[in-house]
Amino acid sequence: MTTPLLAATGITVHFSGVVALDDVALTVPEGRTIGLVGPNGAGKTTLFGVLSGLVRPRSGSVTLRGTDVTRRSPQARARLGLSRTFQRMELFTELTVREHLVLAQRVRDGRQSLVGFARDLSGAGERPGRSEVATVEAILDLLGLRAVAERPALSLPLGTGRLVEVARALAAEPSVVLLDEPSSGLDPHETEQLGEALRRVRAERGTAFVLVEHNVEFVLALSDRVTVLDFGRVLVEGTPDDVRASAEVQAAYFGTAPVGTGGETP
Amino acid sequence: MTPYIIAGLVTGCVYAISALGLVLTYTSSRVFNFAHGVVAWTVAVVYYWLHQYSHGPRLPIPVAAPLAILVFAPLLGLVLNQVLFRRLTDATPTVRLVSTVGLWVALPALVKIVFPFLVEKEIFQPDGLVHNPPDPQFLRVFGTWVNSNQFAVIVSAVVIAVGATLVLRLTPVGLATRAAVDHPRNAAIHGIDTERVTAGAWMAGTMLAGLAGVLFAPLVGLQEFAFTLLLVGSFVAVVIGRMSSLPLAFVGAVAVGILQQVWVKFQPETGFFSVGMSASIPFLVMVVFLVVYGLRSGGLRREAFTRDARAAGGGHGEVPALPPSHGWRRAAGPIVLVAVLAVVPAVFDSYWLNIFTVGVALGIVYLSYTLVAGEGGIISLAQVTFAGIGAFAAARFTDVADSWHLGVPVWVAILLAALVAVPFGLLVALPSLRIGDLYLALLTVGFALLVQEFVWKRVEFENFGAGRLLPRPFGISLDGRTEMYVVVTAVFLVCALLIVNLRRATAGLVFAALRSSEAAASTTGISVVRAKLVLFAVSAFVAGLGGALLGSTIGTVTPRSFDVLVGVVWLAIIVTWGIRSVTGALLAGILFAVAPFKIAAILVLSLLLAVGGFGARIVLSGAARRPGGLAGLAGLAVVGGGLSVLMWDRTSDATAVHIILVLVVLAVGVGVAVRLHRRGGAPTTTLPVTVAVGLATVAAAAWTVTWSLSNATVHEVPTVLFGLGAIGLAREPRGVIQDLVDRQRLRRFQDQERREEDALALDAGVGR
Repeated sequence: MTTPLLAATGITVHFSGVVALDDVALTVPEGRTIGLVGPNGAGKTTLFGVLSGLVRPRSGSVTLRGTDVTRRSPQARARLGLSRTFQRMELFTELTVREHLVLAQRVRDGRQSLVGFARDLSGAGERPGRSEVATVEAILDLLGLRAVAERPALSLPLGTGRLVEVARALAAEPSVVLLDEPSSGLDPHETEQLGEALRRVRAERGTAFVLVEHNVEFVLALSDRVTVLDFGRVLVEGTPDDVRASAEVQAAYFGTAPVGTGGETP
Repeated sequence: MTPYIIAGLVTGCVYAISALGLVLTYTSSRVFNFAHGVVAWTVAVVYYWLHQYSHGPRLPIPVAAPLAILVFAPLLGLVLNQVLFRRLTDATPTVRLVSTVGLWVALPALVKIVFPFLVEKEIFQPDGLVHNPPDPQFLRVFGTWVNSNQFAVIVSAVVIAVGATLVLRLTPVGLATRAAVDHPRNAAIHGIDTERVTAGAWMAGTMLAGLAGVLFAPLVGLQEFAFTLLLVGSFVAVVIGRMSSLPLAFVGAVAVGILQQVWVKFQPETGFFSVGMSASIPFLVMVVFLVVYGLRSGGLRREAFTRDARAAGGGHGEVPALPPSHGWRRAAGPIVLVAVLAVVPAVFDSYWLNIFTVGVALGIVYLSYTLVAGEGGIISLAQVTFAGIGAFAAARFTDVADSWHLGVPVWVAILLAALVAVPFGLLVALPSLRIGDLYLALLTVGFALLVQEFVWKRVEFENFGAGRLLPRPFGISLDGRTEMYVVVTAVFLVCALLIVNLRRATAGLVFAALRSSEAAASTTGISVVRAKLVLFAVSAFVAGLGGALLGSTIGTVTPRSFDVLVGVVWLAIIVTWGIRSVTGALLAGILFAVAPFKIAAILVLSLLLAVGGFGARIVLSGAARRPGGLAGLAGLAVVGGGLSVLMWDRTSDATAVHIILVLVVLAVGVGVAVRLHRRGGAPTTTLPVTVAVGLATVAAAAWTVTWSLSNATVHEVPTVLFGLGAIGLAREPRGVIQDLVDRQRLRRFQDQERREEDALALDAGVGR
């Protein structure tokens, strides 16, 4: 078996005594989409924090392309090809949509060195023009953001903001993207468009995704494998069909209705 | 030993009382009040005016004390909450910080205008709360006499500590407060009126500050700058209590006070540590705690301050953002700037040119704020210290008699001196990797005061009050005013150009990203650490360069020019004129340089700017194309020009202040009238109201002319304006002029959208 693109093993995180994650493992093979579901407080976002380097685990390790990155900074992991979106939007409020993508692209190209800084000082630095490289244009089209490309992020409606988060993550041309509830706040049409865009990116570039979602149908339709978390532990790991059939998932997600009360029947 | 411990206990107890007020207001409103010290000072001034001033009411202590501490202080807190702090809860952390810094500048100046007796310096020995005069042998403890004021301090602190604990733990009010502090939204859902809790907290907090102020005055006197020590004492306590714990803050304050006094007992007679160590102890303790807390897991970054910013940052879809302007409008600013700078030597005589040169040098220092605060979104109060480091280093490098003498040309010495500031900038920036913005702001205050007390009080720097000499570069003599102006202006333009370049390129995008979200910036691949270090290093260099050129223009470098309080006023004025604008930095520098000399000149400048601003509004709004608008513009130009000429002739400052007050009154009146006129659709109904407002304004202006002005009024008016400007414009990073232009553009933008919507609605109606 080849080394997986991104792998986490034995991740444990405590928040002032509360166990947020307990010995969690996750494997993301190249080009695959992994769904991550579970009720609120199950530890999904915390796991994303650990994977992207914003949260230090108490124990466990994270490897990216076979490199142990457990102690690496978020930006180092980003350079290795990992990018993510945020559940609570973290847009660069003053920048336009296009500038978000241009920035992600340039950082990816390593134009943040001291030499680059000196070049910027001298006036030879590049301005975010209207004709930035083709990737930016392609991503704008892919997510249907062309109409709002020159608008500052602060002025965007919630749903569009989500798409900008996804676009920024894709603009760095990553090999794996962590998507934290990308469809919340989107209307059905936008959700459809997002799903389509993700499929295309996967098909064209072989990008792997880890998808946290409350929209279970959306995850199950997109994912190759699904991990179910509950109270910081892995409940079930398997194909979407396995998960759909699992009684434990039913219990954790929908609650077990005691037989005979009729609580769930309309 | 015992006397020192008691003295320390007393100082510590005053810090503790003040710190309790600070923690209370911060936890309930998330607004950290940098003006806490001057609030304490204000209440103290009112108390001593009521009680001790020979031409005042001379009320006895039992009447004056409750009046000042229990009536005036809560009222002040309530008013400040209603007009300022209440509006800040939803603001970004930077806006909150800057607004309270603005209050720090405006409030003392306002108090000096209202209570001119402060300038007379009549009250040398404030009485305190017990005896008149204080009884030096009030109580005997372990063979040491405790005087009546010390006794009052300790009793007050104990009463307040016990009282606060009882109220917060045992009463329904306390429960409501703790609930509102823990989770405002949940508390509101459960029927707790969080606004009332916050208002109550501000009243109580101001009362505690006031009590601390009244008790502190007998220890240090009634001078405003002495109260900075109270402020820093409370800062330390609050840091020890991690902004939230009352008991920790209390114990910390007392410990710092005792440490400070006990050091006095053991301090060496000579050597490195014989000077300024006692006054530096609070800052050193603060730094130690910040570093210790910062190094522990998670650091201080995720404290309430940062978390809160997120909650407040949810403005998505609500703010109609303006598209950036293009074409000639973008180029207009720089062209006008260079043209005006080129014309200055031709128009002004050498006296004024010298002042302008100082102003441009200050503008260079202010460009460092443009970098660190404007681009980085970090509020640093240490820029004044970097400027001082540059100035003193340059002075010592060029002095033949000094051990630091380098024997290089003056301009090389100035550049090297600016480089000396860089490591200090990095030193201050390093903790910012682990601690949040508010703590960093506190750290910069601490660093600035540390250098002020521990370094600049040394004879090598203050030189018995005379300061150090610093010659001009390239052999320019003190008479060669034009040459120096050209040199300084050239340096300013180069720095400004570099900053503009930076902002337009990748680095500008990186800084904008950092200002919005450090988490997203880092996961996008930006090295937050490196960006901040670079920013601080460059800004320290620019500040050092500006400071050295400032000293070189004036000829001497004194610690007084680089006082922390001076830096606070600098921040306020740069915010007013635009923290992200290089033109703003220049205007701010020139205004600050001109202010002490001739207020008349400020008036002329502000008037020109006002006329220019209104003119720009008319031009931009397209009204200029209508005959009425054109006539208005011409009239404005004539009136503005005429008034400027008139005021230029009147050099008396009192007259000038009269004119500015009249103009302010008139402007406010006209503004109100115009607004009324616009709001009411039918002119017939609003016309009488508009006329009434106009008449009232003229009457008020006439009354202002007859108002006799004191010396304090004349000198403090600009400072009040700077402070209020900072409060009012904290939300607009590009300053007052841009604010005017943006408002106009926003209005046009909204009008256009409305018209398009109307047209759409009309089409739909027709189609149906």
